[in-house]
Amino acid sequence: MRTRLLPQRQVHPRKARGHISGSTQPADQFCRAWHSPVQIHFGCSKPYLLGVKNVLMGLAYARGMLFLNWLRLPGRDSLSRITVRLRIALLILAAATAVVWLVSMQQARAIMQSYNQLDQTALPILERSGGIQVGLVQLDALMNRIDRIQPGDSTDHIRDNITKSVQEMHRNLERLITLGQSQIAIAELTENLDLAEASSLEMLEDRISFLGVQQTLDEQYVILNDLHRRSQDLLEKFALNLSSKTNGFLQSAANSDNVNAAMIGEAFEGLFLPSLTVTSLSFELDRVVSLAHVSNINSVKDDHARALAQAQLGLQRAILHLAELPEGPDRLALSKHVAGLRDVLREQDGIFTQKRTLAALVAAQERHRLTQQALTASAMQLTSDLVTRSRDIVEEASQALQQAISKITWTLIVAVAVGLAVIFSANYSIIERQFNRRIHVLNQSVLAIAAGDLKHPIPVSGSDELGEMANALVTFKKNAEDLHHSNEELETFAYITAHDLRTPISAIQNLCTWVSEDEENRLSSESRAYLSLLEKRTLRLNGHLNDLLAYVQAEHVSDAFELVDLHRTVTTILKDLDPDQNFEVSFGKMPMPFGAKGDVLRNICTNLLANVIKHHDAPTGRITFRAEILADQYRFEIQDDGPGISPLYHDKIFELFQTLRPRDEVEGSGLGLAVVRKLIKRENGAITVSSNPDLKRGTKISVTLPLHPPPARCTPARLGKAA
Amino acid sequence: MRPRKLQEARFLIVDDDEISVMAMQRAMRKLKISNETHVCTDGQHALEFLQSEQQKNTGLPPYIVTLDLNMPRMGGLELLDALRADPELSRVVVFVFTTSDTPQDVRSAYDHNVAGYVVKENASETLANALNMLGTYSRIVELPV
Repeated sequence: MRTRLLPQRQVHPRKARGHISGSTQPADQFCRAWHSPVQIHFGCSKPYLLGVKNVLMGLAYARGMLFLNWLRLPGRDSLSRITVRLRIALLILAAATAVVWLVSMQQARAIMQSYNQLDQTALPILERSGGIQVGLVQLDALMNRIDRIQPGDSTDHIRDNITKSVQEMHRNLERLITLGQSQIAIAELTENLDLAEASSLEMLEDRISFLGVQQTLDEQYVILNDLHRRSQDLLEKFALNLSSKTNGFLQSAANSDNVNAAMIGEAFEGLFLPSLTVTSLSFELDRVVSLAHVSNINSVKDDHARALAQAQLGLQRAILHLAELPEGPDRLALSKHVAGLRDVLREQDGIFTQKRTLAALVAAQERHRLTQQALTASAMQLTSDLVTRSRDIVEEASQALQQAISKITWTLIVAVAVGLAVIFSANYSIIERQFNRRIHVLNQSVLAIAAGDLKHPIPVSGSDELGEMANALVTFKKNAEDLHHSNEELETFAYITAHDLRTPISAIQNLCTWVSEDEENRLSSESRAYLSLLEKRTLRLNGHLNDLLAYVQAEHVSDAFELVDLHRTVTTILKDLDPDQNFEVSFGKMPMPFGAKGDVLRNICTNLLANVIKHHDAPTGRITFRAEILADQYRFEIQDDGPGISPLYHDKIFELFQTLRPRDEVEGSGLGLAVVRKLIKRENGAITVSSNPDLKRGTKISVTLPLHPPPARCTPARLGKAA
Repeated sequence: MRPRKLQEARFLIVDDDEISVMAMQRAMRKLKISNETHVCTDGQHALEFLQSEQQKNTGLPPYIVTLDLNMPRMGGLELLDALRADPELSRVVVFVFTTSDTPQDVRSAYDHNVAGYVVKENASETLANALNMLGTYSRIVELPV
């Protein structure tokens, strides 16, 4: 029986060292073990489970190898890394799960085995044994029925039942053999069964014969009694006759004196002897008949023989006596009767014989019954043995089942406990302590620094990923601080430079003005022209300086996002650029206020609108402003009715210090559009110029810039300030 | 009828840039502002000058000071600090005349209770207007004593 749950013969791949030549590398060993003919057995015959186990072990080893390789990082620092620890924790969990799975599979297999045992062996045995016992009980009942059969009952169905019952039991016995029960016992049982069948059928026949014989005996008794009665009648007739004759004689003898010996002799012969004969005949007949009645059917065979002999003797004497009776029809009839009696009592089939047969039949029945009982008892014993044995099997199987279930339960409990322990400890030590808290702090620091608080501390350190990130963050913070400082420095520099350069420039301007004012009349027209040029060039110098400063500072235009209302922005700019309102502005459909970098937008718009106004060739003009919001960008267009820009120069105009008209005609440093382009490039936006003076007047400049989310705390007051 | 002021207001121009000083003097000439004008080229000189004037006349000297902020040695704001720290001189009327238009400077100046802040631009018109205002101021306003 296969209830073994432990591995039968297990060779651990590592322990296969002895069989395999010398490498101590676990990977090599494992590979060799894998390919070696030594297999890993688990006492099961299911190849798929075996294969799966091998695959699992292979996976575990491969993973282990990968892990070891991958863990070969410098120093013990690798153990403190979050990813490493998490992987270790998860590996442990996976290993625990795998172990649980393996054990559960084993237990499940044990359960399956037990179940199969029960299903295919124990229970059928019980069933069959039970069937046999039922059959035996049936047989017993049938035999009791046999005893009670009366003449006239149909016996066929009993015979059929017996046969059927026995056939059924035979079938059960055959099944028991196929279920693997001991053949000797079954053979014994089969033999017993056949005997029982034979004996039962015999009993049936005996009973039938018994009834037949009984019937014959009854008939014979009737005849006997009848003949007896008739004989008695006749004998009575004889006796009466003789008695009357005797009376007559006696009377005559009494009456006459003449009593001689001859007369007495006559009387004696003719009267006394016959009456004696009659009496003894009657006596004999009575005795014979009573013999026939009396003999007990239960007595021994010898008694019957003796009774028969006596009866026959008596009949012979009766016949002798008969001869002594006077002849006549009565004597003939009587002799016939006696002959009939003799017939009814004769040896071959007479009453005595019948009685003897009956006795034999009864004895036979008794024997059969005893045999039957013995057979039944032994059969019962055998089947009880079977039942007991199969119950033992059931017991065993259910115990194995219980064990397997409790093992699975314990394994699961342990595994869940281990799993929970690993999860909780991993959660606390790795996720909580090492990760959650520190990343929260790190997150705060990052957000604070991004928001501009460059003094925010970074209290995270360590040799793991978060520590590295913290260190990097410190570098970023330093960079941001440096950038901030350099920005401040640049602003200061720009301011100081501007001031320091402007002062002499304005001094030059003033001096020019004063000279031309004071000495206007005394100067030659040439000198006056020179002075005028001097003034203009000084102005230009100032303008260049301002514009150059603006260009440099464009780099540092504020990145702050705000909610922008284009309409208001443009109107404000134009108020400064065109206070006299020489230019008429019309707005197309304008979008709702949107989030954008306000200073950048204002800078670009100012430069573009200033250009429009500066390059317009008429004192008044018309500007159309349109804007729309695209997916994550916004676009605005400025359309003017100025002279236009030839397509040849659509690229050149954006270069530094490039103007389209000589500076004497239109004062401009040529930096405005360069600033615009610089800003647009910085924002990853786009600018396009559409203009063709050959076709028609006017220029359309379209600028696309990215949208930015407005600050959460944007209040209308701020909005007003921004616009 | 109000008595005429005992002392006519005088101007003290504190500026290190001689062209700038010349511009102011020219403008005052044009506007026929005839008040007495003194020039100091840096804060230290101005301070010493005021102090000596104060000692001479025991009382706040009647100067309207036009102050430039960017000067060597003692700058305009430092001079203001010094003036406001000195109890004798703390009430002196000061107008800041400077090229700087930064809000910090404006705020700092007004923190020192200046009477006004004028940004010097190149256009002489602005300067003329400002000096005109100063002239009127000197005629109408009572100076502290």
